[in-house]
Amino acid sequence: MWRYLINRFLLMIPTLLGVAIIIFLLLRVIPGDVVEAKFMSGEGSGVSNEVLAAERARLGLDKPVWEQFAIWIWGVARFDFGISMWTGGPISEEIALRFALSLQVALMATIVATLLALPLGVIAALKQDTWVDYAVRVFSIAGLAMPSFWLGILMILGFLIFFKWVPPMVYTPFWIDPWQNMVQLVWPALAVGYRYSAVATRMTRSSMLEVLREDYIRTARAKGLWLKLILVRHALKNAMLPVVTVIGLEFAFLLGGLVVTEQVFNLNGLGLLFVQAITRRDYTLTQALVLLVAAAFIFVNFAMDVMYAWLDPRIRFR
Amino acid sequence: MSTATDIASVDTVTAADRGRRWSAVVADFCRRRPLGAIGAGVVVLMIVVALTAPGIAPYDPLNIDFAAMLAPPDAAHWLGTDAYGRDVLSRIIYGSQTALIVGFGAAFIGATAGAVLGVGSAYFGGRTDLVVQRFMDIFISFPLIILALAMVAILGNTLPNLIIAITVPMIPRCSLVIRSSALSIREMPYVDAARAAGYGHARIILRHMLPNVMAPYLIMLTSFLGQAILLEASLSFLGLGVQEPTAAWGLMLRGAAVEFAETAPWMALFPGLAISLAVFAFNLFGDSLRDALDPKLRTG
Amino acid sequence: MTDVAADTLLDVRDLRTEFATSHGVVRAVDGVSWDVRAGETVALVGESGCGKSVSALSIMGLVARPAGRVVGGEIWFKGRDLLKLSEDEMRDIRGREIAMVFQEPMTSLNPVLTVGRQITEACEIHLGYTPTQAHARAVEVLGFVGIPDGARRLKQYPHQFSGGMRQRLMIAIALSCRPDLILADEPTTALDVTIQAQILDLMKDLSRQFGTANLIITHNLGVVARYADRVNVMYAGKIVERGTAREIYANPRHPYTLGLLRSVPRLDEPKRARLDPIQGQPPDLTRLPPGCAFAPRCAFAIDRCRAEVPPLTSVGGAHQSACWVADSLPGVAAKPVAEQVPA
Repeated sequence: MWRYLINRFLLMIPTLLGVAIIIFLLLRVIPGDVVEAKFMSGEGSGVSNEVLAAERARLGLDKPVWEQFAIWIWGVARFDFGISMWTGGPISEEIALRFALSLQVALMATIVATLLALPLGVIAALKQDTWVDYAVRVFSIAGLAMPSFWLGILMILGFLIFFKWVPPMVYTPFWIDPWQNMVQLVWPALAVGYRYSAVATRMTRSSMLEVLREDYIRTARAKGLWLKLILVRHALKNAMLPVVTVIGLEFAFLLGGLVVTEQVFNLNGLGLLFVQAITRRDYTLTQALVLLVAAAFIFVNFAMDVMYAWLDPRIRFR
Repeated sequence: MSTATDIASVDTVTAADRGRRWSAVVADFCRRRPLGAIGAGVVVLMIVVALTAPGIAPYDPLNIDFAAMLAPPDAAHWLGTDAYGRDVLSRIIYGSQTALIVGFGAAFIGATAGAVLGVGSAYFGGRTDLVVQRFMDIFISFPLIILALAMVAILGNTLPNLIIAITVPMIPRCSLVIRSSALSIREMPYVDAARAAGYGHARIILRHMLPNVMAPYLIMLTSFLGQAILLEASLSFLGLGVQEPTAAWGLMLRGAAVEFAETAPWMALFPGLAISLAVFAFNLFGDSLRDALDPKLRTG
Repeated sequence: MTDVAADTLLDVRDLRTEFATSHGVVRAVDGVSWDVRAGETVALVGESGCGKSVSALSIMGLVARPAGRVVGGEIWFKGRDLLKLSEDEMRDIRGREIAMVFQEPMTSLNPVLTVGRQITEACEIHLGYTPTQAHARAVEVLGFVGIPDGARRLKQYPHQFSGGMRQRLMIAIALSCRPDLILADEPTTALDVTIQAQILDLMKDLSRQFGTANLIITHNLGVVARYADRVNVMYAGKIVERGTAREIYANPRHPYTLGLLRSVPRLDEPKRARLDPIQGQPPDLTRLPPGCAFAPRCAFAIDRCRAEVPPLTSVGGAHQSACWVADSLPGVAAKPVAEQVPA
């Protein structure tokens, strides 16, 4: 089993390298570069070609593509992501605060989703094909159907109309003012968490249904155990395997995928930074972001494997 | 040669037989999965609305009427008007065209390409499988919306490009699922028989493997329909999808809808409802289809 | 109704269990009566789908709801009708007084819990054992079922045991609370032939040692001959023949029993090289014929068989058969019916 995990860990490297290559090439295929974006738009138009060329040389964009790539990857291997081509600031600094914000929203949404999904999914499975089941299913399908940005708009609309309250424009980090921070982030977390819980509820329900049909559940009943013990000890642990996967993958997705929700709630998270970076053709920043988000996704995947091994002795003792 | 004819006859069903069975299957589906039937009904209704949009929309969706700017819902404009005085109901009706074209286009292309890759990967196995799967691993670790953003940035904002952009992140998800069911079919004796009968790879894949991954394919296809509509709405909302003045639901929620949220909430309310209802209906139908097709979860 | 003997432990009377399916109501158990005395081994024999497993699940109160339910009859166990007990009272009986061993040892144990956890939990709940006591008991029962080094094995998971070993574990779980009766549903079907005899011998030994009564449900009459004291043969939800194992084996008085016996190899008749499977398919329980359910497959059927359901009547003492032509059936060793009676 250790060999299996080490193997899985090492497989992360080529995948990440693949991500790096693709995003690197992808960015160079997009028409225009950061220099054009900076000088050609708005006030900077009419800049001479010499200036543009000098700026490109300063950013290293005049070098052959493979050399640019080599320089970048060598930096990444040493955890040096370089400087933003647009602002000139170190990328680690550009990302840090926004990463903290996105991470916090993702974590809070995960908590919301888990707290909703587990009880709802289990109850729906136990009461399969009754009105309880139908209600839970409609609730969760509705969660999947409602765009979270629309839910966000409705929330803001509700606050505005009923409480005359507008979400603050500026992000307050948790360590500065926890209360203010929570008041600000709980709503996006709820808006996102609802959709997220829908995915997890459905997985919990179907996984639970499958497990409840297993022979060992019948064995447990034949032993004369109470329903609660059968559920907690015998069913949940088995049913949790796929649910944990879904929760983990959604979490990884949220880290960089909250673009629209961030827009609605005025949050300067990773998602908006990505849109900004890509429109500004800020190669280094975009690359770093994609790599970060992909790494988070791949790592969560790996963590799921470890979790599987921990939850399932059949894998643990392989 | 007799092997070959036997194989061919397996999936040959007479037309009359097929017709009778289809109606029976549909009737059975409606009876046993009422939620799914409701979903299918709404989907059909949407298709009808999209097809007959010019006939049923009360106004031209692009018609700017400053006299009627931000009009609340009334007899003239049932769902009110937007910041340019355009009729919200008409724009929602025409928006269904955009949603359905993108939804069906992206879901069909994404699921089909994913299925072909998944089946091919499972069928050829070995190094092909390894390479394809590594590639899919890489694409799947790009968050869906980021990949779509990059694709739109590269390809531009036209509708076909939007469809392609939405398709790309779907392919690896579908190929993973299809591959795993294709792997089990690959081991079936009839695939060996077809190979022994001297059929080419393409023919075996198309004639014998694809029909047998139909169930997971349909499940993926229907689940992509809702996702594609949502993704299109998200991209349009961000200004990266369909461009003004085309009528699209996500676009209607953008900009002015939020600015005027307090004074003209109908601008934000109704397009969102349209998106939710559409995706809800597709999911409801897709869900019931999954229950009906996935033998593991079949009840009774 | 037969007299209830003083030492009767379980007395099933006119049990009826039905399932609602999309094709109509299935009477899986259709008015069945039988009993088990303390310490004895009784067999319930029949093809799959004849209602024998459902009978056992009905006794345990584990018939899958809402599709299935017990619609009639009584199940007397130690002076109480189990069908009248509440769910809480039934829970106290399950595992404590009546334990069950299932057919599939590979899937009947929870893969993510240690074997120890799965053995001890019943003792902790039913007997109020502390974890230490329960652990000691688990080591003890593992010893009974022939698994040495119990303390170490208890920490392992089911996948670390072979099929036969897992069935021993199931038996250990069943034994753990010292029940009066163990229901074993096809306990050896999923196992290798060599292991089957070991498991059955073990059950027989344990029954002698602890005075536990066994109900063995099987489709294999060969199993019955060696291990059961009395036999009930079921067909299409009804008992068609019953008697001591010796009577059933030496002198079957129902064509179905006869067919079952001819379809298994018999060690006592080395001369007979041919096995004769019963012709036809098990009946569709939603569309049973008006008369004897076996008539369509029976080579001895007369007109009366197709019109009237034969009652279970004595063919000699406690040996009973539900057949209109019970008295004129040939012996087991006679030539196969199909060749004897021209169609």
